[in-house]
Amino acid sequence: MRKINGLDFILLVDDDEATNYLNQRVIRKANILTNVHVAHDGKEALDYLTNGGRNNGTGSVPHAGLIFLDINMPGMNGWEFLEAYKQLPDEQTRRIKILMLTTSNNPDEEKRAVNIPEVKGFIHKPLTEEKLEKAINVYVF
Amino acid sequence: MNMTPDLDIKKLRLERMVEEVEDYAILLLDAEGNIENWNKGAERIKGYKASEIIGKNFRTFYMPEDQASGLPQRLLELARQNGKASHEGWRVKKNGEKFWGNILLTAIHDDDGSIIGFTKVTRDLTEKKLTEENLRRSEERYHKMISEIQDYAILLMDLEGKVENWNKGAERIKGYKASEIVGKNFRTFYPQEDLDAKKPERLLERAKREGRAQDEGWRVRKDGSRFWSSVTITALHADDGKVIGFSKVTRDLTELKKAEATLLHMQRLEVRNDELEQITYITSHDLQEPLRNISSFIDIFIEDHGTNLNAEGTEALRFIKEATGRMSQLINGLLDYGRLGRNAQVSEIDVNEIVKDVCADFSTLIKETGAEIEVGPLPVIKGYATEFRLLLQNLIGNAIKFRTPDEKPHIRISAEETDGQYKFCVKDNGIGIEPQYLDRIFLIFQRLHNRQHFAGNGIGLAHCKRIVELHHGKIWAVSEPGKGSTFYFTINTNSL
Repeated sequence: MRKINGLDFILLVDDDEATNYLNQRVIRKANILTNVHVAHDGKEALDYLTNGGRNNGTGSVPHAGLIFLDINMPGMNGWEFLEAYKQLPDEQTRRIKILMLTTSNNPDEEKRAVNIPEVKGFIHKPLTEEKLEKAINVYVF
Repeated sequence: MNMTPDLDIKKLRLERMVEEVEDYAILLLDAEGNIENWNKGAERIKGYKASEIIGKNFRTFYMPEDQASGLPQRLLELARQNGKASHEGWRVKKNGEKFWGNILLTAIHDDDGSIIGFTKVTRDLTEKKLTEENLRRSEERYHKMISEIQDYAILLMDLEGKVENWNKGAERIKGYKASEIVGKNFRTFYPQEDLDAKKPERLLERAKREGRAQDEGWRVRKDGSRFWSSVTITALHADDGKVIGFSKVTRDLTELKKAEATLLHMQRLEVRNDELEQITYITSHDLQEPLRNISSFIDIFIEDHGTNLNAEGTEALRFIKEATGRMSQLINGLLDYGRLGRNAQVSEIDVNEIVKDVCADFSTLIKETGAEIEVGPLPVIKGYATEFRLLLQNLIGNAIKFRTPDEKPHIRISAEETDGQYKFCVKDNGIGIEPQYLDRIFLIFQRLHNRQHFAGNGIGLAHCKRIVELHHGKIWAVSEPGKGSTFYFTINTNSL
């Protein structure tokens, strides 16, 4: 198992159980030691980031990791989550990178995502080991 | 004669009274109509001095045609018989000018009752006459103006709505001649449902109450056809404020109404189209997700349990995997189809460049098959660049794909222009198409061949059709099995 500096957690935000199962498997197969957390909508994701770190066992709020964010979700969707995320303190989010992970091959959505500074990349499903490794190499430091 | 001074004065006063009146010409005529005296009014009105006219016959004042017809004598005769005669007409002054005279001739009798002469009182009513004349002319012009107006039906109605006059516009719009409709009620113009709802009566009531009533709606022509009209009914009032009738102005707005209806229809279609595009997109998008999951789980299954499967199981999984792959392609094709031309901008396209690019993309295939592509001079046009490229890519791709076995594909691309309308032609020497399928090939997901012989989704030509339609053109094919196919399409750059 590899422990990667700056990758304390990976947050998977998707309402689809099968997708979450597959993504967790990809991370497991990649042999990476990190806290993998699943949130089924924006609200659960926000809870994970703000509830004092009870979820990651470190006792502090998570502040270094990757978020894979789906757009279409019931309840708080990807866009709404991003709005709420912007309100979080900068010292917490500085080392968190958000990547959109969606089925969408709609250029409109990609264009919209590009214009949000918090979104670092746009990845099409399915997540693969290659895509994961690339994301870690580019965004985690 | 022996007169007292008092009587003298009285007689003088009487004489002077007549003499000094300026507003009336007051004359004394003898029994034959010869002038015996002359007052100031006569001088002022007719221009003669007493010395010039006394002793002359009063005929002198009449127009030559009236003299010729014996009007003065007739008037004297009338006064003789009835005691008096009055008349109005043009008379002539000394200087030849005309004036409009109103005259009263009164017979003077002696004690035996014999007529011994006449008094003649003349008033100059020229001013009044001219004013009346002007008024009459202006009224005439006004009526004429209204009657000549063609674009509006303008009519007068009485209190009950009976039509009193009719103009050309009314005839043109409603189809009746004046003789057919004057005297009829304007209810005639309303369709049955409006009559049932008492609309004409309500409009008159409103015009009476508020001075004016306006309405837009269907009306009926003489031939029974309907027209969409805009109507204004205005109440006409007498000096005492009582309503004495109505004017009604009607415009035929049928064409406008039709244009509006078309516009509305098009707006609705646009909204519907947007909705459909949205539905296509969402459906395709949502269909992709479970499909991708199936595909991913097949991979996992093979990875984790592949070694435990027998040949049949492995084969079954391969089919599932292939089917999901194909379905994914179909969904993507549908998605692309729905997205064609969305947010696209018209720009200048050098078709020569596009053909060159497309051929470069196909270079491997062209080399493998030994295809020869002959390109005629092609124009620079206005159009949607990405879509236009896809169009040529599909047509050239098909021309190579559906080649005759063991024969080198030969493809010719050409274009001709007439008035901004371009006709393009992509001709091949491939397998050709059965004539009964020539229409069907442009429908989405329609395939003519088994997938084992020719791969494909049945989307390419549907895309082509949509792209050509986006350019306000048509696409069609001419072909015979075994003799190659020729695809034509037009692009109308004028309307883009």
